[in-house]
This record gives sequence, structure tokens and C-alpha cells, in this order.
Amino acid sequence: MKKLRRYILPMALIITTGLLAMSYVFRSPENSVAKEQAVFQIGANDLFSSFETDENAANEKFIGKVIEVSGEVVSTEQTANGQLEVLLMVENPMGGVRCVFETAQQKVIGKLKTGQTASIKGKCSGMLMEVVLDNCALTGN
Amino acid sequence: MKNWILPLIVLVFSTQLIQAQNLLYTKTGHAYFMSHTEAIDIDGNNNQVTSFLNIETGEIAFQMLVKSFKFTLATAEEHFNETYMESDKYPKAQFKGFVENMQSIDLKKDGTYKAQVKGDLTIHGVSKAIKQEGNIVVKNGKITANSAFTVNIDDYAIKVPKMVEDRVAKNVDIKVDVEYVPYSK
Repeated sequence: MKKLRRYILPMALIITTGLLAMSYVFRSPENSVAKEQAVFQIGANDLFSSFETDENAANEKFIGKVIEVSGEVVSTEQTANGQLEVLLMVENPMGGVRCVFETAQQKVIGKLKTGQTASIKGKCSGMLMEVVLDNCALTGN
Repeated sequence: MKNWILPLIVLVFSTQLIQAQNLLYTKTGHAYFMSHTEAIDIDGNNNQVTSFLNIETGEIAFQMLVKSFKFTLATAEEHFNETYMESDKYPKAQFKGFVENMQSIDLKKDGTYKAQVKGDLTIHGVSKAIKQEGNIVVKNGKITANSAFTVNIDDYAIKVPKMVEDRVAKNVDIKVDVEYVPYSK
């Protein structure tokens, strides 16, 4: 019993702590924001207009934040590298809100049809031609 | 940071209404970077690169969101965005320039053509004039472009804390490959 308390238990504790620390440092990224709370709830057109009107202000307000966006589905596309892209409609025909899914894709495709209104949660990365939300999840998931 | 892609499209579009078919684009281009050191290899993939190519003028542009880069390690992704690229401050990386020898590339004939590209590369808010060679490949009616080059992080004011200096390469290898389709809306 003495041996256990003196040597083996402390060793086990140190090793466990070490393993836990390593598993944190070497963890894979979260692929979706499903477990996170949305900071903003906003319509696709309002989100896009914010960027169109004042991109710097919109960058500061939205980039890095989890946003719940709602809008009409224009298209869903499975890309060559395995991501799912859902495009939401905005007033400007050259724009849109692009929602990129890494996970739960089959479920997502099944639930979204062109012309349907969708509510999607994602992390805002900024705007190129459309406002891009990454690591998306369907709300209510 | 000005978003010049939309005004660029509108400008090109409006001045070449009849020749709108001269514009190729993609919104799902691929960019890859690799920082190789003895201590560790860190790499990331971005599959949301937007690119435009005007096959008449040779004007070419690439734009990507830094936060759209995906990493294998979450810790690397955090450091990349928060410490090195400061992506909240500088959300985009972009290139704007010309394929100088566009006239000598026959897009109607299958083949791999060397493209001499010259323009401004902007990373982390710093713009630098660069000259690079890439390839424009025509195969079965599909037009793709690719390029591989190296970037020195000091040129773009990317600061690496002394503590992790041996884990981040001074010269980062970058690969870009895109598949173009005609721009029509």
C-alpha cells in the first residue's frame, strides 16, 4: 500500500495531467458552431447590406462572431473538397450570404430546398462577393 | 479595407458589355500554405478563394478570407488568426495584377501555358509588388490556373513571438489552384 501511495499514484496523476494537456494542445478544430450561442440573429439581406454599406464597420461588428442568419435558399452545392455550400438570397443580384458546412451535411441537404427559408448558424469570416459564414450548422440542431 | 472586387466586376462588365464572355471567375478556388520547420510542419487549406480573369486584357485578381483557412490543429488555427495574421484587423489576403503574356495564350487549344503574372500581393494589410510565373491549363474546354511560390513573412509585417520562432518558417510555401467558369449573371 505504501508503494502505491508514494510512487504509483503521483506518477499516474502526472501522466494523466500530461495526457490531458497534450490532448488540448493537439486538439482538432471544432467543425461547427452547433454548440455555440449566436451573438446576432439577422436576416441575410440585412447582413449583406451592412457589409455593402460600410465594410470596415461590418468587419468589426461581425467577423469572428457566431451569427444566426435567415433567408431564402438560392442553391446548395457540394464542393470538390467535400464542403457543403448553401447560398442565401439578398437583394443585390451579385451578392449573397454563403454558408459553409463541414459537418452533418447529408442531414442539411435533406432539410434545405431551393426557394425555402432556412435558418443557419455560422461564424462570420468576412465578405468577398458574398458574406461568408464558416463552420455552419442548422439552427435547432 | 476597400472591397474592390465588386466595383472591378461592375467596371469590367459595364465597359465590355458586348464582350462579357471575356470574364472568367470562380468562388471556390483553392489556396494552400505550408510553414515547414524542423520542429513542426503547419499547413492550412482555403477552399473559398474568389478569382477573376479577363481573358482579353489579362487582368487577374484573387481574394480570400483569412478565416476561411482550415487547419488540422486548432491551436495552430488560433495562433494563425490571432497572433500572426491578425485576421480581425485584416480579414483578407488578395492579389491584383495582370497576366502580361495573355495575348500569347491560346485558350481554344488544349495545353499548359506559362503565365507571367505581375501585380500587388496584399497580406496582413501590407502590399508588395511581385512578379510570378504560373500556369494556365486548357483541357477539354476547361480553363484552370495554378501557381506555386514562396512568401517571406517579414515582407508583410507578420510578427512571430520569440518563444515560437523555431516553429514558424520565415519563408512560407504557397500553392494556388483555381478552376474558372465564364462569368454570367
